[in-house]
Amino acid sequence: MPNDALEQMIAESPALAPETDTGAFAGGTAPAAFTPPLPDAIKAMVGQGVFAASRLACSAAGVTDLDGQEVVVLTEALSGVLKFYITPDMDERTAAWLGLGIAAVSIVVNRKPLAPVNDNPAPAPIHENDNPSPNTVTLGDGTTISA
Amino acid sequence: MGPLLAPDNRVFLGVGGSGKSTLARHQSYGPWPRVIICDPNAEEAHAAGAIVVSDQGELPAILATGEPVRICWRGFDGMGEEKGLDWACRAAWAAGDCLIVWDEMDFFYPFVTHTSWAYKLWNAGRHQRCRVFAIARSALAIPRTLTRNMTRAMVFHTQEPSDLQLLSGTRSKPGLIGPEAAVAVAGLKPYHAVDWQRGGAWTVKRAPFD
Repeated sequence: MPNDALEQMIAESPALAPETDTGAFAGGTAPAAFTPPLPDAIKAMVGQGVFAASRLACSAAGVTDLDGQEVVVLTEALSGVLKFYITPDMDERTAAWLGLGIAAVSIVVNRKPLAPVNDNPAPAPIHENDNPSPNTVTLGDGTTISA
Repeated sequence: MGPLLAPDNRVFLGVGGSGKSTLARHQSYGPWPRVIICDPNAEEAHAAGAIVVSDQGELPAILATGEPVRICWRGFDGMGEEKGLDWACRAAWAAGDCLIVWDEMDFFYPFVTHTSWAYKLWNAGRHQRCRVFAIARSALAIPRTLTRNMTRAMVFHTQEPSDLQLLSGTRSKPGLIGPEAAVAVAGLKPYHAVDWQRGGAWTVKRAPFD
């Protein structure tokens, strides 16, 4: 007697993939699934984040900033780790928030302090016998000639 | 055939190498014609004498033949642990008159929700003549939504305080097997287990036992 529930399960199942010669020895395990690299856009943001965070860390540690090549090396290594966590099946909203976070942090950390604003500037000093203009010449007899 | 008169849901607890899986396998040979062993670790011992199945469609197809069969289910790599467990439980329910063994409940317990086939099978499987054996290292891996319908627990030695507390219970919260049996668990010899049965009766036995 056919079992309708099991027949339904069979119908829901994907068809068996055709057997291919993977070169694996009999009884061997299947090769590990390939993990795709990070998308370029995410990798660029990671690079910004690495640059910004390294500046902050180097400043706190009192050491010199990373140079461009060091940032690239660190970004590549970090991307190699993050690809296992930032996967293509991550939902778009999470990815967008993550991107915003990285971009915001990198932008904020990259700000340089402005020169302090002086609300009460000292008056300019007054010097006697100053030339009133660079184009004015006073002769020895006191005569002034303007260009 | 009608439903089982009472559920037959057994729990096997113990640290790695204590003998819980061996005991579960020993008890898995019973009067039921079909056995499905959920084997996420791909253990050779589980595969012995069984048909190893990894394909999603092959599992219901084998059961649909209606023949007595022992299946070692390893569809977790392809389907993931949650869907793989759910699929096996659904197949067991659909086939009926079978035993399903959940090895490594420590992996699976988050997936036993009120809407899962695992939950349905555990709580109502007797109507399909289905039995469930759950194997775990920690008592914490057996959700408390399941323990009320647990009919038998075989507990090997452990010294983990949180496990012993759950087994023993506290003043405000009764334990899984009670304080006296929990004390016995803490002092068990290797390959010995406390065999607790619903109602509270328990004895210490040397594995394997029926």
